[in-house]
Amino acid sequence: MTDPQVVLITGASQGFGRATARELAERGHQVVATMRNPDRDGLAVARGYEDHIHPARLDVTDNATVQSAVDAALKEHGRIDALISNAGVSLFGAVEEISDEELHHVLDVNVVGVMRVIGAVAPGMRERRKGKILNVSSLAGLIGGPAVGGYCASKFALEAITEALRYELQPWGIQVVAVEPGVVNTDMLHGNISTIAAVKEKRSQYQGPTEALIAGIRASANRRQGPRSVASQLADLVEIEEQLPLRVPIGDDAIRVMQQRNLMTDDEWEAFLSSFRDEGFPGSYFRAVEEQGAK
Amino acid sequence: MDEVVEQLPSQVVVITGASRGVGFETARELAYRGHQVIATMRNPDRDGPAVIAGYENRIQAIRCDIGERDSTEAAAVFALERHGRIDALVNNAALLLIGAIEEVVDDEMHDLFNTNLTGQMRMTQAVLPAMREQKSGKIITVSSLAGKISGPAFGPYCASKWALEGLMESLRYELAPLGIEVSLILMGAYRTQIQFKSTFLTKKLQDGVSAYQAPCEAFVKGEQVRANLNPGVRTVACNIADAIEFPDPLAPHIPVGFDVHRVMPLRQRMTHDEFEAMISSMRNEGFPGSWFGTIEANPPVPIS
Amino acid sequence: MATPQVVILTGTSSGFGAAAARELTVRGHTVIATMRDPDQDGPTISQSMGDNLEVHRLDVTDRASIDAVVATTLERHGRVDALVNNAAYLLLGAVEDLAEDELASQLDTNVIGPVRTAQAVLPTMREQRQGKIINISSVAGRMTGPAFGAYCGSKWALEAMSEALRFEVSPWGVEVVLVEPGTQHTGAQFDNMSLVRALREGNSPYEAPCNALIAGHQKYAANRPGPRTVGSTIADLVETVDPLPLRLPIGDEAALILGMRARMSDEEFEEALQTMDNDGFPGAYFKAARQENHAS
Repeated sequence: MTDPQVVLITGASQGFGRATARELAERGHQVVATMRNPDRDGLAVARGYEDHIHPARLDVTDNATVQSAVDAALKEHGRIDALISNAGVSLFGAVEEISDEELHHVLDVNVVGVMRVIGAVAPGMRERRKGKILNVSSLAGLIGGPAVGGYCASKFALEAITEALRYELQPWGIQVVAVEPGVVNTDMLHGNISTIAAVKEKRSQYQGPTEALIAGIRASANRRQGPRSVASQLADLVEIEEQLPLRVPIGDDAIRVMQQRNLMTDDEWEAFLSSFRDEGFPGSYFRAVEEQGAK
Repeated sequence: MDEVVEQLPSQVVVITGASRGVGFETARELAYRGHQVIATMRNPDRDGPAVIAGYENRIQAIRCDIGERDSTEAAAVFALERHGRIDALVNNAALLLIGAIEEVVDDEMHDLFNTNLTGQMRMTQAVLPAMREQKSGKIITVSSLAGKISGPAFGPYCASKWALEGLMESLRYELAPLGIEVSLILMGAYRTQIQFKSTFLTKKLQDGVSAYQAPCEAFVKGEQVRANLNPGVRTVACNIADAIEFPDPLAPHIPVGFDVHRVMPLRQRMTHDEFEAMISSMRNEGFPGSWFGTIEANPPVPIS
Repeated sequence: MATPQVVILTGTSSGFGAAAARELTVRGHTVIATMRDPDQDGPTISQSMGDNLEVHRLDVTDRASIDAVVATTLERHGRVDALVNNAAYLLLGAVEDLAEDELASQLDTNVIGPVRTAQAVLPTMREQRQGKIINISSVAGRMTGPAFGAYCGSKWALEAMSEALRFEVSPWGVEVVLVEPGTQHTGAQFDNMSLVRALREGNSPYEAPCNALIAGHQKYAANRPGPRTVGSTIADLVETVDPLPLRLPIGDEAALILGMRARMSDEEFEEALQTMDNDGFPGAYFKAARQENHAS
């Protein structure tokens, strides 16, 4: 059992972030649970663990809030042992129709946002020659698929960032890991899905398949585990004192993809993914395209 | 002499970043083979003549800055007005950024994405309406090993290239039913002008105040020496021209270069731990050997 | 820019040889482009090229012609940096139909030829402690099939000898590389293809499947890339300063076949070939053979 760790989490108001904050608190760690609106969301996250969970304001797209949250955490706790970069947004829609602003935003949150927080936290970790940076990536950071290209671009980028950072921080003994959850039953999937304007306004050339994909993912998510599986894996990673791997896929779907993708050629993988027709990603999309063609 | 296969219909090809490197060589190779090329670049007055020389009836050099949506749309309009169709787009223009993740400033990162990712998306979107109507077309994007592996001080650049891989992989599935093909050129290390000018370093490195100054300077210096030793990009240009002329479906990736053939099987077969150990143990001059060598010689002092 | 290299190439009248010779010339190297009939074929490759391209007569079955070219090269340029063994031809026909002289000729050009030229330049390269022997093999050097026994046999032999040679000469800093393109649109698949006498004279029991194969293969080859890319790749090999791999497969066809070969057992590979439903090699052969069996 490790000593209590000081963990800063972004995007802790819901989903993985919230579940992880509470799991870590349960295990006795100190959690700086950051979010965009702690006044609105902080109480519920901390309930029952007020001695362990400390909500704070941090918007990953706003450097000033990043710096002040980190400064406050260091002042209060003296150190940050682990950073969990979890805040992220999704984006559903075909590449052909993503606007500049939509792509900019998903990169700003999912990639540059992560980098902002790392920029604020890493110097302290280097000074102490100790720390862990855990980036919440996704199955979508390992493979591309229809109607999720913008999101995949951001998560692929996060994977590249994580891999480079790992080499960069190794001399100071800081560990860097990317976790890749697959489809998990979280609020993000049911409430906060972002779609491109073309889809929202129902003028997309890919309307049917995109809507079918979203519905299919939601339906499949209902049959899958909730965020606690991700939360407990992240908490384990915080606690483990040995050398961590670069990538930790979470969920049978992510694990399977990671194993199989490298065994196949590009063509084989593409044929394999393109053959999916069951409800979920990407089957629902391809089924809808097929049905459209049949009309 | 059977050097050029004559019976193919002349293709209309738009290329970005055609003022030098892969774009330049590809434009001229396509023209040699009889195709029509809209060679786009930021400064056609300065750089156009060299691209066109000798192929005045096959290459048109026009201005396009893929960082600007209007510019990409205008380039597509030009191509259609001139030729009536667009058979292929070669997404080639790209910027380099070198520096540690921790030290990259927001603007540097967004500027990098704006060209390397969003710019490619813009230009693709600009040509797709024509390709949809034609029910045919090829979107060929120049990527590299930097889109498949990542390393110290290359995080930002690799992030932009990995992002492009994710975007294009998705686009390929989306466009398949429309008869429009999407493929990535996976090129290895070649002598291109993108390499290692000082303007491509993060501000912290340029100012000499980076916590990673020594290892970065070491490998940049090594690469500047090495860059001149690599062959030029003619073979990449030939592979792109082949892909444009190819009547059968294109593979998702077209690998070009010995290092690609050497590294990719290792990357696929090895665990990451093994791969990382292999990369970390390299001590070649340049990237990544000089990075690791410098750190080994001067490790951060442990706190007692 | 890599320092200008002195490069001797064989079989430069057309195809990969011509493309590589021209590419190297444009890149500023000293190119000794050889062929059997320079009077007839020389002008086409030297047109619009600078005087760093020299055209010489060399027949890989004629040692004297080889020695003469090497001697002239050393006299004029003082060294030989790279040898590109490209001269070869495709002999098509069933193993049972191969006349001894036809088989001997195929091996003489495709195998013994490259050995002769390598032997002629190796003393110099060993003295230089530097040199590259670039042997143009093929996907056909790693797989084989009906009607391709002689040609594939010759390329497998070239691969084996090159692999041995590589071990032998590496202590002197001399490198040996095998380039393995797939089918390209070159004369080798068309005018330069040789058929065994039995086929030409119409008395082969394999006539129907062989003819179907030739027609299908040529139809397929007509859609393949021309030789400029392989030419450029060979030029890259000459210029590359880093250590070269033994084998360099080029193109999608090579990647596909070699990937299958690497992953499948012999039985699986054989099954895959037999059931391949393509127009060219080997599909056309098997389809015609099956039809014939049903007819008889």
